[in-house]
Amino acid sequence: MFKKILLPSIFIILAYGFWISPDFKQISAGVAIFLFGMLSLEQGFRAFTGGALEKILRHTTGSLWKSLGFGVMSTTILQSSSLVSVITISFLSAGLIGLAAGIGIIFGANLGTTTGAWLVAGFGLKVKISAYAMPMLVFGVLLIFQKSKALNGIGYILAGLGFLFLGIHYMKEGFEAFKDTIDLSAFAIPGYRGLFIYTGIGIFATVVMQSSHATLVLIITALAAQQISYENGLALAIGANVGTTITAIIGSLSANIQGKRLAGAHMIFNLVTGFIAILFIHQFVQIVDVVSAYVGIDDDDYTLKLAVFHTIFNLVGIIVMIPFINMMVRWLETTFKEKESPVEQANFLNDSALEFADTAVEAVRMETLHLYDNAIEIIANTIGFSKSEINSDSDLKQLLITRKKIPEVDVEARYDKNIKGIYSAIIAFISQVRFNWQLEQSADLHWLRRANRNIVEAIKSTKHLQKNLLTFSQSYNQHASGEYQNIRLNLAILLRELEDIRHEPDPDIKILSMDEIKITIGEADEKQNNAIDELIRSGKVVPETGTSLINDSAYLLDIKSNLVQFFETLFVAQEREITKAERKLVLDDDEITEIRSVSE
Amino acid sequence: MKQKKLLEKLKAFFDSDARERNKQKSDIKDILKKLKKKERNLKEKFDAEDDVDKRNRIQQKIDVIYAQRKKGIKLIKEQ
Repeated sequence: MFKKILLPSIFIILAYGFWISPDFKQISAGVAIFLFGMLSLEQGFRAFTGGALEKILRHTTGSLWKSLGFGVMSTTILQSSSLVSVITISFLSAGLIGLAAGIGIIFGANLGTTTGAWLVAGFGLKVKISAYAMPMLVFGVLLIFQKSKALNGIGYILAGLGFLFLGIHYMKEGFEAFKDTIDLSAFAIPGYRGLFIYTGIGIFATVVMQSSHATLVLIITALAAQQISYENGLALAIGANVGTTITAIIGSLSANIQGKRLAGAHMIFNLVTGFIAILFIHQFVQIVDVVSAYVGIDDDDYTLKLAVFHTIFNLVGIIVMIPFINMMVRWLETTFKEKESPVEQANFLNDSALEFADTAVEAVRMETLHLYDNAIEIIANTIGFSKSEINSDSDLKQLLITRKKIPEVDVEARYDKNIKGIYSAIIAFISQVRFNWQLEQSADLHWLRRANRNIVEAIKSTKHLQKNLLTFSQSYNQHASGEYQNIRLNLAILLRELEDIRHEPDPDIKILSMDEIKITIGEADEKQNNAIDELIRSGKVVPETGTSLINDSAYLLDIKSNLVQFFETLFVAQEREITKAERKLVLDDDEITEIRSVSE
Repeated sequence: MKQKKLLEKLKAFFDSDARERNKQKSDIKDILKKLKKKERNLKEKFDAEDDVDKRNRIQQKIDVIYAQRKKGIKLIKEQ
């Protein structure tokens, strides 16, 4: 509910603000451009992940100090602690680094992110940065149009930096103009009350903008324009640090348990650091003064002093928290426990089934059928049918007409939930069986393993098929949509026929029933390819759509062939004696061709 | 006569190949019966069906079963 009204409320408040103040509009536009620059930067660096970046990460997080240093360096280079957090989470999930190393990177990222303040304070406000922004944008966008992945990535990085600088420029301009209309410094509140209020404002601003960077830039520009007092600027910076945690928490809501643990660590770090900073604010101010004097920062250069403060208080946070990292890891691991996995588990495989060869084979066979049932449901849903419709007597053609729009199924997620767990359990179970069993049972298990692979292959082809199926089944080109409807119908009919064969009252002739299915599959494939050729030749579909159709009919054939092979294999591993005789009657290729030529 | 039959039975008992052949012969016969029954059912379905596509499919199934039965009969004769 809160989520639903949050965005419209922000829109209304902003729109009202734009209406009454053009300066506010300029500042907001600056923030928007800045955030867009960050997005572009992230996109640019993403082009370099999966290779060099990940390799470096693996080698540079060997110890706590290394991971800390890595966090500082990478965040300084990327200018985005959230990107570093995301990459860290992905490495944690992949098991390449431990939670302690991940926490080290996050701590380091907290320090690295303070370089953003330096960038703006020391560099951004002294020079007319928009002068750099423009060429960066031009070169960046030109590079974005390049096909090479590396050049494209560099393009996004350049454009990102360009937008960052441009955003800073707009924010600065906005605040300068704002200064003439309202004197924000009149609202400066001294003492702890002001400290807490501005910390709150800092948290709020960071949550709204989803970026501590943007808040800091805002603080520094406001400070440079003397809109806020120095102390209040410090409080805002503390708030920004705490606020970024909320961003991480929101981000981790959809992350796995490792991501949640890392967000937890992030939160603890920032809360503790923020608490220390508020508690010892006067001491911090003194330290900042000493350091500033030492490095030659003017007494009234509050913007640079804020950058010093930001760095020092994060540094203190790291020094205080480092001894407790291991304790934190233990606490996080016990607090954020791996939840009961939502992944569907195997029903028939257990240790007792391993005792005897026959029971083991039967358990695997039953589990394979369980897997098949789940797979059929996924395939049926992907083509817009329910499993009960497939198993019923309802007219599939009629159903198809009434249901042109296919509800989108997340095949990948369904695979993870309903297939992967069972498939892995089957493979693990088969690998446990003893080798001294009779040859017969070992062969059965070998075939069952292959049958399982057939199911997985069928699901993968379904995933590939789905992409165009969703797009083209509603296409304005009736010929294209018609062909995709045919693909759906074809597959639905096959699923129903396979179910019929499976539940055939006479189990002894199941393999023989597959002969006719194989003939139909071959014929349907040939017919469809001829139809596609004709559509392309007559110009009824553009060649691009035609090739999509050709690819998708290949996926369809792949799904069908895998399902048929699955059935054949499954029945081989059952009723051994009778299948031997049954197989003698299975038609060979020549005999099948003969029937097809007669029917044509 | 009785002795001769008994000897034949004894020979068959010790001749595992022949035993195997006989077993397969009877299995194939069994399957042929079932196929015949299925073919009959399909023919009834064919007569009751109005949809052309569905009739074609049923006909194809009947053709395949016919070819399988033919193959089975040939195999029995060869043995």
